[in-house]
Amino acid sequence: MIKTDNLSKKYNESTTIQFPDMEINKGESVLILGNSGVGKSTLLHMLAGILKPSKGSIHINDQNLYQLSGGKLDEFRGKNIGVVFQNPHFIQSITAKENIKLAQKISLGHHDDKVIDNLFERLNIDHRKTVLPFQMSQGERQRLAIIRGFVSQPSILLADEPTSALDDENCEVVINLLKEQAQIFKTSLLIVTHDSRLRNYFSTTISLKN
Amino acid sequence: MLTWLKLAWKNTISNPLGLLLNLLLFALSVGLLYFLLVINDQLKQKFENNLAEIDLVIGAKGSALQMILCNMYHVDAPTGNIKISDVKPFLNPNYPLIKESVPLSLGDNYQGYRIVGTETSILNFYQAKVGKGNVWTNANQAVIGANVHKKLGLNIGDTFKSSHGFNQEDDLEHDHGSIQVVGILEDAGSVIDQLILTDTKTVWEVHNHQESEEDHSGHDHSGHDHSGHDHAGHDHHHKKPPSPSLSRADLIESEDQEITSLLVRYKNKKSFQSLSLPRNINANTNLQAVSPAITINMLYDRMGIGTRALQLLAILIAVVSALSIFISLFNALRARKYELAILRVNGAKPSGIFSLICFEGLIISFLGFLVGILISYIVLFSFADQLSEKYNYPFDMFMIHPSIYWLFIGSITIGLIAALLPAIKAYRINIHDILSKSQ
Repeated sequence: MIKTDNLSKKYNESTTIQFPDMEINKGESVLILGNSGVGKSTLLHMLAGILKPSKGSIHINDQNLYQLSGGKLDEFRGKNIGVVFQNPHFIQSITAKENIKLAQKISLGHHDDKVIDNLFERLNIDHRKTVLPFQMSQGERQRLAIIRGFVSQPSILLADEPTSALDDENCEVVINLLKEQAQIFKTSLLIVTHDSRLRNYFSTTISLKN
Repeated sequence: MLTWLKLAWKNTISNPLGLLLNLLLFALSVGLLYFLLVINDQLKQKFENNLAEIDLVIGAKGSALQMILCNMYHVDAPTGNIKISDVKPFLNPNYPLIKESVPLSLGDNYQGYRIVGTETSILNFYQAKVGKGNVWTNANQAVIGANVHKKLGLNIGDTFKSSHGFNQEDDLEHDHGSIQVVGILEDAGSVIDQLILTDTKTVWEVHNHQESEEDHSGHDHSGHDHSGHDHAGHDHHHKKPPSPSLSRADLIESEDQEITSLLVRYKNKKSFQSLSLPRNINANTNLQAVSPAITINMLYDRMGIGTRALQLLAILIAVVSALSIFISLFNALRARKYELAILRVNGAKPSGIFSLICFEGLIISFLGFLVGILISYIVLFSFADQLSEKYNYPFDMFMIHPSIYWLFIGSITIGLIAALLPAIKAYRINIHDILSKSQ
């Protein structure tokens, strides 16, 4: 469960972004919509535990995120939060599957081939496990990023503009995959985007405004 | 930690060209340093083993270094010969300053191994022991060094003919006086392993016979009959009874004969008289007296300048190599900042990212060290062959020099230092900043 309270980020004396309070239950999917510059990525980074808010608090599974610090915050993030970025980056020197194994090992301290292979199968890129990331298409990389997001079976998955660069057909495929996996793992899914096409896929939408 | 090490390995080998450049630079530096250390050590060891506590070498006037190299290390030509009458006092066992002396007569070889006309007491100088057979008791008998036995396969009872000069040239073979091997020395680890030792008389007889034959070919044959006596074919193997070796008294009496040099040990190295002896000999006689220790130290000093210059070059290459590793890691860090940020998002601790970059520096330096040592041994091996062929001088090029451990520690330290700054930068990456820019 995610709960934010009075969350704001101050960039300089004149610019402070205030965010609405949110409460997202386990397994719930929420869309956060907003135009450029309203602080979508800032919110996502704060929820992911990589940017400390200036004010307010974020509770994930009843843990006040920013009361943790250093290694404990890294550990908590690894075990509880999955993130899928618009431009997925991978380690270029290792294969697609090795990237996923590494992510799982870092998050959980071990890797589970069964879970990994299952995800590759479900996302239909089973045949691309042994190729290097730069040898994959944009769509395949996006799927690989989804696998990485879910591989440690996190309680929340944050996705930053996952469909912005995709056409309608692929947009639908990616959103359905995300929702499907979230349902399987009972993960809370929170998508941050300016892509208004996604409105149709979510019952709960939070709009961010200037 | 193993996860980071494995990833560092994959990252390192994923850029083969960059790796090759870094490896070559590092290996060149390590290889050159190790090569110099081994060669220097081997030369120093050889020089020191062969000093044999000899305090003075007395010979014909000429280059002091040449005299030492010829008479102690057997790698140069003699400065000339000296008459027994000139060194008579120093041959006298009762000479007050001298504990012992041994004459050397050089000028011949067998298959490139030098034949030394001397006395059996030379074995004490080099603490050499006869392993098989006995020392010589007659002229035309020889005791051979351990390497001569190994390389030429000469055994007790075998005979050979000496050749004039120091190189293996068959056309200069002496027709007269076969020399018989009567003893084989144990491996002494010094120059004596490379020598064929015989009595001074053997060398004199071979040369005197040759001179008399030259006189004989010029004389008037009208007075005697050579019919039925063909000089062209036979080798003048006169069946003479064995001639006993020279005693010191016999040697001193042979005033008109010549030797190449005299090796001398003082009774008291530090006495004023001993220290003045070489100066007195050089000033007042037509002989030259040289202290081996002083001459070899001068040689070290001269060689040292070249060695130090090469060592400095190797250190300079090491610095360039460290800089190259640093630049590679720094560039890689810039190119891979998103990868590192994603690793952090996945839960990697900053210390893990720090280890990853350090491991990359360490892997390059470790591989560079291995390749450097390998190159060094390949060069040493070919160098050893050349030295052996030229000087019949064995060099143990496969020894593990103790400096290898220091070189290893040095290499690892250089790799670590080169990786430290990029690693600290990686440790401090701001995930939010990097990922914001990637959108």
